[in-house]
Amino acid sequence: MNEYNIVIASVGGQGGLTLSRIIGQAALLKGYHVRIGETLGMSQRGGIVQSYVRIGDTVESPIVGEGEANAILGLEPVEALRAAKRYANDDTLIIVNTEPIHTITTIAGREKYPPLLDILDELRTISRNMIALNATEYAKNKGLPYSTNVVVLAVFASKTSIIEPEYYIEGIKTFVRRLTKENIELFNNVLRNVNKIITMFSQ
Amino acid sequence: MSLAERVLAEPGKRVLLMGNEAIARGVIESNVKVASGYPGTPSSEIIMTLAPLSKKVGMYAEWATNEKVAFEIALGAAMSGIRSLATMKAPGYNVASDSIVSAAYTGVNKGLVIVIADDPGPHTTQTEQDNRWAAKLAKLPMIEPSNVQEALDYVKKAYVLSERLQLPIIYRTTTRVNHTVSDVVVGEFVNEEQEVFVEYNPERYIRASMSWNRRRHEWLLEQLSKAEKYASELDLNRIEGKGEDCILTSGVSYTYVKENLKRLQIDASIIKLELTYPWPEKFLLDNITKCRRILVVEELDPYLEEHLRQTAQRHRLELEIWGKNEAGIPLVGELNPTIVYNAFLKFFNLNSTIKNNSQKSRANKVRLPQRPPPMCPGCPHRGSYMGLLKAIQKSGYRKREVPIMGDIGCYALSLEPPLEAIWTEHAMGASIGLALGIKIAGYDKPVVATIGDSTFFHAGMPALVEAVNKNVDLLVMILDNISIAMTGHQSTPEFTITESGRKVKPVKIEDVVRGMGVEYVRIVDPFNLEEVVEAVKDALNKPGVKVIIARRECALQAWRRGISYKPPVIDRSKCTDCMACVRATGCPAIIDAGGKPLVIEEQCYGCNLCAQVCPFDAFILRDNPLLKVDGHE
Repeated sequence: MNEYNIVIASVGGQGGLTLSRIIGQAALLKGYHVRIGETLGMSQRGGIVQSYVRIGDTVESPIVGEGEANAILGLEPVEALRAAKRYANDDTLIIVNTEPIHTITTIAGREKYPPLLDILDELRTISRNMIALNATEYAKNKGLPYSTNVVVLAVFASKTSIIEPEYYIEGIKTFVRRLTKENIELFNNVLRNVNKIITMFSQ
Repeated sequence: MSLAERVLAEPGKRVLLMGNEAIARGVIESNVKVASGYPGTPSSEIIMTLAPLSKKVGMYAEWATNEKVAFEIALGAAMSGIRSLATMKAPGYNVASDSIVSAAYTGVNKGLVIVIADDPGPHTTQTEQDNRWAAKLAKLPMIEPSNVQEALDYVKKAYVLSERLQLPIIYRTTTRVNHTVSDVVVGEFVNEEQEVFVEYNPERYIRASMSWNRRRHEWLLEQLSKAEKYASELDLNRIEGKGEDCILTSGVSYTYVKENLKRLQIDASIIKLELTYPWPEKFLLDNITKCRRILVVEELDPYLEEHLRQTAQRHRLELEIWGKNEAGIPLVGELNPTIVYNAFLKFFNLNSTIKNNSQKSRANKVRLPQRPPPMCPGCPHRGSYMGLLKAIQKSGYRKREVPIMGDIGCYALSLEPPLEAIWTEHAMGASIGLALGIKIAGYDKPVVATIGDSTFFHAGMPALVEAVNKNVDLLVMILDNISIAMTGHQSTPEFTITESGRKVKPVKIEDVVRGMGVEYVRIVDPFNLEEVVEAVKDALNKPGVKVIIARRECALQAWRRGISYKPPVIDRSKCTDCMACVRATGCPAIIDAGGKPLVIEEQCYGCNLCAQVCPFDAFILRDNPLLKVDGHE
């Protein structure tokens, strides 16, 4: 494989960076080269976090060029759209978690958080290859409220064939240090019932 | 596989490491015995990786009070025959530079590497200063790795070069090297013999004789003249590819150059500099003769470009030089593959072949809200600034009549709505000095300086001594969250144990402040809004220097130790949906959910600040954090 570019769009505290490392470790075990870059703000929590995971036989740069993403994993709807506008092209696979996280400007009443349906429509305009589900809700239902990232990873794993699931599980073992077993179970659960879960948690 | 297992992996193994973790591995491979630094993005993870492993690998790896102290510790060790390391972010060089510049005259007896992590972008730094000029100013050799593998491998080369030249080496990195995670192959551990000896050599170590200083300056130039030769013996500086079209580059820009050449299927010669000070003119002249045109691809200042133009002029080269202006490469912000792609289109005179983005241009209906970085749920600084602002108002002043000087740390996030509290954030410790200047200039209303615990130790102390000594009317709030939180929760001098497991003697801020002669010292709990308001009101108009220490552990740090409090519940029979709780706190854990306030339980720390601003007493408290005092570990 020449190269595969993933942009992970998230809000600080959601586990976007952990997700990038799980995929990175899986790619390394599969035998690919890996470059993970990240754009972080100043805050420990609640700021924009973008990670770029680039894997393939030869990869050099830690950032993805504009319009060069093969996949965008959006852990938050507004951030998914922000990333898609810059990094998606017509063929990009977009997986978006539909659970919104307000910004301080929307909390303070300075700006409005856009309606979810508008965000999803716009993502669909950018790429027809778009999957939306409330991964946070699903993770919460399974008793793992902080595992949105693992649910999104499992959907990604089931919709692509670049890396086999067992490598992702190794990645989870390496980078998810708490509730590791439960997260692997969650990953397998989603993998087994992916289409049902996407339909059930589509909003 | 834990981080420790990856960093200490057997030689030859391929593991996933972040740039800073790879540098830490290189430092361990080089058998460095003393490592010191001050936290600062994007440099912090080097010492953060080393400290917990330090006992195991037989190293001293600790944070120091500031970058100057950190560098002096490293220099003192290297003068005495021990391999050492100092780490800092870009402006950390400014703090340490007094000692670094003199160290070029002194030199070292064993290897000393100074990692300076610049932040083009900038992502998290007050300035985009290009510290390649710092190497030139200090006259210290500089090595620049371009990716994570080199970041690991070149540490060893840096120590060898340092010892051959008897000079400290500046290891200049940028965010895209420090914070990139990559597969790397780890190397062999060297068994470098080291023994402590302290040399008495006045001409070398005493900078009080001007004739000695001149002689050491001459010695320094003599050493620098050998740097390029030694560097080439270490295989530093590289030429790749072929053709009369050449590209001169260094650092992470090299990766953008390489990928775009591949993408566009263009042949060109890449001249990749790795020793970027002293300017490797011989290497350049040896490799540039075949070039007809040359494009310089570099971030920030035209450092390579200016040196190249001097070389071309000095040697009357027939060379078409494309620099920042000609290629449209910005002086501001970091480079990325797209910027370099566009520069290539110009330089190679090509038409764009970029992927079809027809759909994207139609996606412009939704207005995306901004997402400035907020204070975390449970952040103690929220209570400090809410109380401070309320006290200013209760003392009869308008919000913009009492300047609040900010400083560097998480509390600078009080610049964002709804607090919009601080008026400045300038440089480490500058809040107190700037406040002094405003009062001395004659401003007749109160002025408040707000400064964090570690920032106070780092550079706030000298300014506070000045305030006490000159008897200036000033309120200083020291926001002690028992952590260097913003850079990842490093220890401060108030700790009793450090990240390496070393037991240390805690230095308490209140003792320091009283020792400096401050008579008005109060300690308040920022979760207790009434207490903060009362303290500030009392202090604001009193003469002389007043210090209020607002002490409460960073919520994230406490959370990790298993400390949090039950979220309050909104009593719907009392709530009027006025949203005061949401609007006054700006806390991410309480939001406006369709016109009604909603506590997001998984995010709530239980600080109860929202309850304290409710005009209708509509919160039912389920826990009282004020009863429990979080101490230093």
